[in-house]
Amino acid sequence: MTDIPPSVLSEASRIIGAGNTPPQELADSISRMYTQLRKAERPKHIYKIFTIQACSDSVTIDSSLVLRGADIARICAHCSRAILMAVTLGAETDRLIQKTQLLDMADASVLDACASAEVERLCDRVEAEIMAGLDDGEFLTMRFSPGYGNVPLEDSAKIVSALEASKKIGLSMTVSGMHVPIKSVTALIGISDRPEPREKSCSFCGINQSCKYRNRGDFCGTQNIQ
Amino acid sequence: MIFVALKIFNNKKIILFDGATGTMLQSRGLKAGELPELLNITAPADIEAIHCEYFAAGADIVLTNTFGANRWKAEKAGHTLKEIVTAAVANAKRAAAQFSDKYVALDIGPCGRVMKPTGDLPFEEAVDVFADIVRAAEGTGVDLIVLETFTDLYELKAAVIAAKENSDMPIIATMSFEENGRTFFGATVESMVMMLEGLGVDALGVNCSLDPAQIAPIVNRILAASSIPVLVKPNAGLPVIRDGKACYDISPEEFARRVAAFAENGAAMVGGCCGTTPEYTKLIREQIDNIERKETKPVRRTCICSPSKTVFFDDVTVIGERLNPTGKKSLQAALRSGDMDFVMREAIREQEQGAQVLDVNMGLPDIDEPAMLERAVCEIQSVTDLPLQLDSSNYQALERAARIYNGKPLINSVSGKDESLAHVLPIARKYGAAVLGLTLDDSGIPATAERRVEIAEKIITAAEKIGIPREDVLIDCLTMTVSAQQDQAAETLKAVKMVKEKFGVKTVLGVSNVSFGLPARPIVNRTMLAMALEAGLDAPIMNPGDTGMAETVAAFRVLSGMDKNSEKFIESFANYSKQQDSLPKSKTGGSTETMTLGYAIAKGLKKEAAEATGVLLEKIKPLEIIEKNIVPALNEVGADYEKGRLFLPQLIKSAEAAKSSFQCLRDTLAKTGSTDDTKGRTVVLATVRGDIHDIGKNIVKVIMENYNFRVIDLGRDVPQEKIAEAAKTNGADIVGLSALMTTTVANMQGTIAFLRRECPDVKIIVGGAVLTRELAEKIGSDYYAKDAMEGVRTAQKI
Repeated sequence: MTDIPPSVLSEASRIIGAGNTPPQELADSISRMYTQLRKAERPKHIYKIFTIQACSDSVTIDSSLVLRGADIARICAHCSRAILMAVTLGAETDRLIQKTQLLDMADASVLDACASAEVERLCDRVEAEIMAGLDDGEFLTMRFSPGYGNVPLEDSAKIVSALEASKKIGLSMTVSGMHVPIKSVTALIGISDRPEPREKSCSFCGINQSCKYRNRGDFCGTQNIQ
Repeated sequence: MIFVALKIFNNKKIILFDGATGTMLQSRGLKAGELPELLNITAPADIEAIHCEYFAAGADIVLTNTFGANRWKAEKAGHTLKEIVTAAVANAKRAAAQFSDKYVALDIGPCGRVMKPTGDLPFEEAVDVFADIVRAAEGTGVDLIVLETFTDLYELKAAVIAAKENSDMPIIATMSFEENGRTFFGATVESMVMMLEGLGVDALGVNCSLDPAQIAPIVNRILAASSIPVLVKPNAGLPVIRDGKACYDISPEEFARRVAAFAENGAAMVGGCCGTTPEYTKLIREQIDNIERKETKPVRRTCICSPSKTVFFDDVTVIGERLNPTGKKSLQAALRSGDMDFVMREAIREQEQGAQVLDVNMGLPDIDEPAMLERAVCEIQSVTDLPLQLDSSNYQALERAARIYNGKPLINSVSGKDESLAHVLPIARKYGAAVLGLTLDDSGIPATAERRVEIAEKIITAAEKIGIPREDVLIDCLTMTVSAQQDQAAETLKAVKMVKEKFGVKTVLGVSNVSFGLPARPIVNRTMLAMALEAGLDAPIMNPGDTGMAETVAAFRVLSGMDKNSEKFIESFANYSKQQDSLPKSKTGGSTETMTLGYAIAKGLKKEAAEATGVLLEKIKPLEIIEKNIVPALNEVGADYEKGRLFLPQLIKSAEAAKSSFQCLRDTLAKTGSTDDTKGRTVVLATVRGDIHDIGKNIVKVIMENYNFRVIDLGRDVPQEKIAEAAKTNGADIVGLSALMTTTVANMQGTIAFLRRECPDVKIIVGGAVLTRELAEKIGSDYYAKDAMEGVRTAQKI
């Protein structure tokens, strides 16, 4: 069996609703499904630096593409450049989740959680790579995805198009704004001239009313900022 | 054909395509999010200048600046597609006119959306989107069509069909591959070649993604597999980020040298993709001018494929026969109720049992076979990568299935009847399918091997006459029932041998018919199989789960030398004696007598729950078992889940165990002829239009079914009309709707309003990631459920 990274184990467990440390039986099940996931996944990522301009309620990228939302504008207030990034686990992962649903729904629910946790891990890895390439006096803002805060989910499509993600990593969108493959993330990270708060904050989040983590007093980021 | 259409290429020179357009535009300051194709109208002189540079550098053909042009993008840009395409071709033609013997290709890239069932783009809409582009180029004087950079074989099929149906121009189609030899969507080099040749493109190849060194193994595989000219257009290295700009790391000199080597090895056409500039083109021209273009030779190899799997019939190929409702009551019932999960599960099982091709027959007198076969093929391909054999006597069903099939299918079947030949062969020709010929004609199945061989010849000749190569015809010499006509087994075997020897085609045989009317049929079947394999049978159509037959195939592969060093055999049968020993134990063993049904449900033990139910049935009535055993156990599990003492996967497992118990009760009731009043109220479940992710809804389904609701699952991305219709026809009390995205909540609201008009008595429960109680109320639903368990509790109260 593949060794499961601790971050994936605890994140998958949280998604399932079992908290940071899953009971042994669930932990075994997560490890087993993670092993299957690793065989099917073909992680791909792309990121690119763009010049940006933040106004009060939007951020304009490369003087042509606008991401809407006051939250993102606030986050990018001290940035003249930003990184757009996209990551995906690939089409085969979706297929495996689909197939597993037909065979064993309990396994499928665990696999689905593993895939969500895995794509987060991939994002973190890419972010670390970006961070390593920063010059002195450059700082990253938090990673911000459309659908989060008041940035409309549809704006994901703009990131996908700016990065040519469809051509470069096989990531596209449905008309309704869903990623295909489903286990994918698009995000913006500002490059600031000063240190920035990097915790994910519930107060920014567009789903903070319906969030399952919050409903049980938990949170997905590093801290719960009301 | 391409060389005839473009007269200049009657000479033996390598044909040179241009380099990147996007790279040139970016270096002229194209911004992210700007539509490059719009520049055809806003900056025609710049585009013309780029084309001129490439022609001047020595390109024979330039691609129009239309890679991403389609109806959706044109609409956003405020122009018609016709305006953009017309301007693009005019720019390239003006450039070509400044030189002699230069050509212009209409460039078509992927449309940017993903095809169903992975994404949300229906096949026919994709065909239409590409047809638009081709039609927009009508009358512009463009010389050929290039479809390039595709990564989804299915989308490429839609594009080729669109091009062929709407133009007579030569078509070149190329895909981009990763270094592992697959596309992002998992398509292999060989699958691409097989499908494209079948569809009748004029040339094929690879572009983009990789640099010339990385692409070399892929080029070699394409050259080895292809019977038609090959085009190779690599990138100038992989993009790297330097100072925020994309750069490419392969120098023009190295690029040209390597690309010339492809021409030496047999590529008829070369060019450059991302990162290449006129400087690259100029150096390639210098390198290839002395290379003579190689003639392509036909690769005569029988093959069918899915995007990721090719089957060549070189080894014994097992064609699974289980996806055929004839004589299978459970499959018949599943098809009548539209339960595709059953079909997909059966497909997965056949694959696990060792089938390499799946026969798919959806023929039932009271269902719409063309629609059902089309749907089944689509769904089966979403869960298995095995190539399919499309099995129907309904020509329309065959045509629709062959059209939407992803890859190169095998059509089952054509016969020697003139009517059959006239209908089926054109379908196989148009959609590039292989075809299975049955050796019967208007006078029935001949009694002699010689007459069957004559019919085989008639079929092969007719196929070749309309352009289907002989290797794409497989022959079935037909097994007769030996209990009725004992001499016929020998005739069939003789015919198999003769057909192989005389025509060199692959042979297929449905073996199991032979034993009808005899006892111990498996013994006759597996012996007939062994004899047929020895006579030259390549592909038995059989039940891959029939152990005796599977063992015969495995042993035959050893004895015939196909299984080198008996490796597979040893791997499969290493524990053979142990397997035999363990059989009796598993029949008697088990502690279910001591295990209570409640315990089995609580622990989520499916098999044990069914067994415990069986034990209880000897003493107690079914309804009592439900009330006294199943319901309390489920309630306890549900309460534990709600208190956070156990989690979703365990809840699902318990629910599945309860389901197996219910199933056991129903089977008993059916056997005793009692009325089945165990099934509770009817719930229609659907994920609303626009949402293609449905794991949450599927979990709700499992849980509800196991609280004994009768669940009609309509799947994902479901239009409101279909939901209302299902609610009406099934007399549903409750409709459960799921939406995952803020964008699809609007569709949910529309669906609720529609349901209020169409079926006012139905109660509506909604759920999904973005919903809240407030939002659920605002959009007019009756109830909100935060998870599957609350869904059940709510439904129980209604």
